[in-house]
Amino acid sequence: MPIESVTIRNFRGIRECSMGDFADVNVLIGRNGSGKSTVLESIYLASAWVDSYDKLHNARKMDYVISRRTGRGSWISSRDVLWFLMDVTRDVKMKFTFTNNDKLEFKLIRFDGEGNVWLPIPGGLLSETALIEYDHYNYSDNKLLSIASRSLIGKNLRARFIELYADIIGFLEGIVFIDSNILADPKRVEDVTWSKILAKRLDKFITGMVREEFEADAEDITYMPIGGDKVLALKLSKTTVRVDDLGDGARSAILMASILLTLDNTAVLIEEPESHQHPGGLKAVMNFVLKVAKERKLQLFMSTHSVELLKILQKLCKDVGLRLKIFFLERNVEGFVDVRVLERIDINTLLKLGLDPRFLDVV
Amino acid sequence: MMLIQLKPGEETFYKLVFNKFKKLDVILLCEGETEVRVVKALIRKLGIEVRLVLGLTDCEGINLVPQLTGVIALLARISRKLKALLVLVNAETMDFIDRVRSIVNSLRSKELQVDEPQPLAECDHVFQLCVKVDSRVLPLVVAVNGIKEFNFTKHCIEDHAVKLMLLEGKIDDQEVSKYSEAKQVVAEDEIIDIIGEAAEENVRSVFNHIVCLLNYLVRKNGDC
Repeated sequence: MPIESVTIRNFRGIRECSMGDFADVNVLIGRNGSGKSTVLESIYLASAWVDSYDKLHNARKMDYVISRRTGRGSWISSRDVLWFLMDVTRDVKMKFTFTNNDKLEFKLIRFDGEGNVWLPIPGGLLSETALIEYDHYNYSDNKLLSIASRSLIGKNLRARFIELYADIIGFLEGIVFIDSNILADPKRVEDVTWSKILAKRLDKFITGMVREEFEADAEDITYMPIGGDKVLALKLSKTTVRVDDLGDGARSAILMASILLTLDNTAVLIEEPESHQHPGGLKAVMNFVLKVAKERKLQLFMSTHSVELLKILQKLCKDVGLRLKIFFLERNVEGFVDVRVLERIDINTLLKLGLDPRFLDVV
Repeated sequence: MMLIQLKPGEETFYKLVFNKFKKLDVILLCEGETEVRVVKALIRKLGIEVRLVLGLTDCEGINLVPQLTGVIALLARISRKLKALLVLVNAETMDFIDRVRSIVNSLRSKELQVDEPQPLAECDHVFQLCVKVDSRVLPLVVAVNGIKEFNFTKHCIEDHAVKLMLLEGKIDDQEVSKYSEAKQVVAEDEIIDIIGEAAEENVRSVFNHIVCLLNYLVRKNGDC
């Protein structure tokens, strides 16, 4: 159930930001600090309501959001950094609408000692379950919370929530965050994805992509014993190279492809996919990503600083038959984010006029 | 006036990266490169001074109204800081007001709210209107090139160059009457030299519509 819109309040550097009418492929552009990564993180945290643990990053999602930019902090030690200006008197809220018109507004609650994402319980459901004193539910750990009494219990409301939001729960559950941390950790990606990939021989598709742009003589991807361990390796015509030892572009491409091939009907958050990629490599990776997205119903959200990526996506989205939208974010000093929406044709028009879409804040 | 030529985009990119300017107050959309060069030559020649940052660009010779209005609509929709949008187009085979109305109609067909165009008192080639997008109102000023006293089949910026040549005694009426288009009389790359060599008062009178367009900015002087 793809996401239709999101409104973020008091989260990290964002006082308020609303984005809507999302497409199949959504690209966020804007200056540093405009809120692009924060938007991706808010979608990621919505998925923590369904499953608080991220197998790919091997961390609780809340802790990962706090620590991922610098490697420091956790909910226990540093939760206040998630509040805009660390003003914990204002609620952090992330309101999502989905393409079936369902609306869910997630909240972070500071006194929650574990760092869960909470959903206010719909009124009807409270009276139905005779749990009137509780007002928030966390699906991941199946817990109820009362803001007023600061109490928390475990109670099986899951079945009822599945009845109400089955499609959304399934969609949120699968969300993955592909950032530079995970693309620098081949072992983690191997551990989580490769049994699934080999079981269905999806590795052939990855080899095809590698052959297209990165290693023309790539024959296969295999497991190779090295140092008492077995590691993923690329078989070339005259040698075999650990994925770890490939160039950054080829390694990132293989890992990103591996993650995508294990997903279905969910959202994929990709931070700066252009990192380490030559434009030819970027085209090959995006071609792969978009085809998989189309086939597996993946809604894509990417942040970027690359105008080459925008041009490549324009062409490929048209070829593959996916709708592309580009969102230019500009955050003012009060933390309000102005969002300007660009359709595919707009980018060409701006470039023809001599206006770089990454600098839209000048007009 | 701080004049920023937006094309080629690579140069604008470096100006932006190195903070040569942080915002554009007004964009002047010209039909083609010739008009851009003429506008720059007039600003130089006449010493027009405004406290605004003017971005100058062209639509690559687009004379198809839907494409031109696509550009106007896009800038109206995505801009936040622009104080006005100026447009310089050729009349081609149309009357001035009809040329502007065709732009207005096309903008309306793109579901933009657009006022009726009003000619500026000082020049019947220049029309002022407003484009409304959401809660924002963007002034749009359209100047139309062409001199109807010439019997040319199409009217364009070169008409004005021919008129200037007549005033400067570089050509006579009889010679002009031999041609069906001004472009046959004067080559694109000669216009700038003609402006450069001509008397200031003649330039001001012949290119009055562009002078009015630029004076619109002078009058607003940073407060459109």
